[in-house]
Amino acid sequence: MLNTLKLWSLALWLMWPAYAVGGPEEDRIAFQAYFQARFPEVPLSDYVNGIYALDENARQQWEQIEEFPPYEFAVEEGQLLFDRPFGNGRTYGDCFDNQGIGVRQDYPRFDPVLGEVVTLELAINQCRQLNGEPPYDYESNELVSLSAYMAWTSRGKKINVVIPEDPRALAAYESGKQFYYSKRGQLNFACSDCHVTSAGLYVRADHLSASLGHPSHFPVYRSKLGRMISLHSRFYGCIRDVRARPFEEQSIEYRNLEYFLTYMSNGLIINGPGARK
Amino acid sequence: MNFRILFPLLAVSLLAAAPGPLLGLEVSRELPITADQAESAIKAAEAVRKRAAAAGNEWLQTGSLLEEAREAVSNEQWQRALERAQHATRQSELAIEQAERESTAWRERVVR
Repeated sequence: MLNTLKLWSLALWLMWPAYAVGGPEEDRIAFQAYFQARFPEVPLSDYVNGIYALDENARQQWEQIEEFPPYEFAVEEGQLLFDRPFGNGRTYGDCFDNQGIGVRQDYPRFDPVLGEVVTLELAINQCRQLNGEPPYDYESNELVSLSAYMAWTSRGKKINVVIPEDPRALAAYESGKQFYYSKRGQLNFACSDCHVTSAGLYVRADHLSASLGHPSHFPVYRSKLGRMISLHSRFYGCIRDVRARPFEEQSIEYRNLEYFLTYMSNGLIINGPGARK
Repeated sequence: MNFRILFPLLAVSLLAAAPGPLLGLEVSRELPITADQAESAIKAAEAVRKRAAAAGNEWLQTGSLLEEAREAVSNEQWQRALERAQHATRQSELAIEQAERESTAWRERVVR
């Protein structure tokens, strides 16, 4: 009997590494190390440029686009909206640390009162409602422009997503991590299948970007759509593309996914808003 | 030779040998689908779709297939409605299987 127990203990000990799930910081270190080993010629700091860190030809086109950035209009509109007082005389600045300037890098954050992850876009709408204003639609130009302006004021700040000592925060992170690595949809793809395993490879005529640095540059102006889109809008498109039914923007699923994904990019800088094909 | 008999016989033989669709006729070797069967299939498909959605893994096309099935019912196209509903059911079953499999399989993909 004792020998049987010992054998089972040994078997469990041997199996443990395969199933063990590291903590967020171990995950982040492994995630960043993976891409550095995979693309040793790409500096870590360059991953904030998305696919342009991996695709030299596309990078040249993008650098030309950046000479007259198509997102400038959104930044200007966002600043106008940001500075315009609400009906009660207060402003967006009153809802955020540092009057809302240079805070993008701290989002998403876990709200202990709400018990959920709060993204910057959700915080903007919370601010509006707190001040008696109706929330914006998450796909609206106004909300994306406000987010673009707040990202603009945060350029160069290091992403600093915090997972506090709260089991609910860790559960939210784990939920986002599970979402990221789970295959879904009729095409049976996980986010990681494209943006980890196949990063840098072709998908039809384009190269797939690395997930590292993904959240640094949103919202982005997408040339093919002719408008600004949020990170969650990009999530929506990816999930639809693998032929799964997408979740709504700012759903708990996407907020947790953003929490995990942004934590993976901790230490990289904010360079949003961006421009993409 | 009696042509008054031969020509009608020839015509009847050709018609009998011609495939049904050539004559614009539906060829069915099975009993036609009833409205009740079509509607039951849609009801069953909707129930499985809800299970897939509850698992957080509804597939993209399933809702459209169910809409097409309902539209076919409203047009009294019972066979079409049944086929669309069965397709939707199968998609949802596969989506549920996928979700169950991925509830643990995702861990194998975590970058370590």
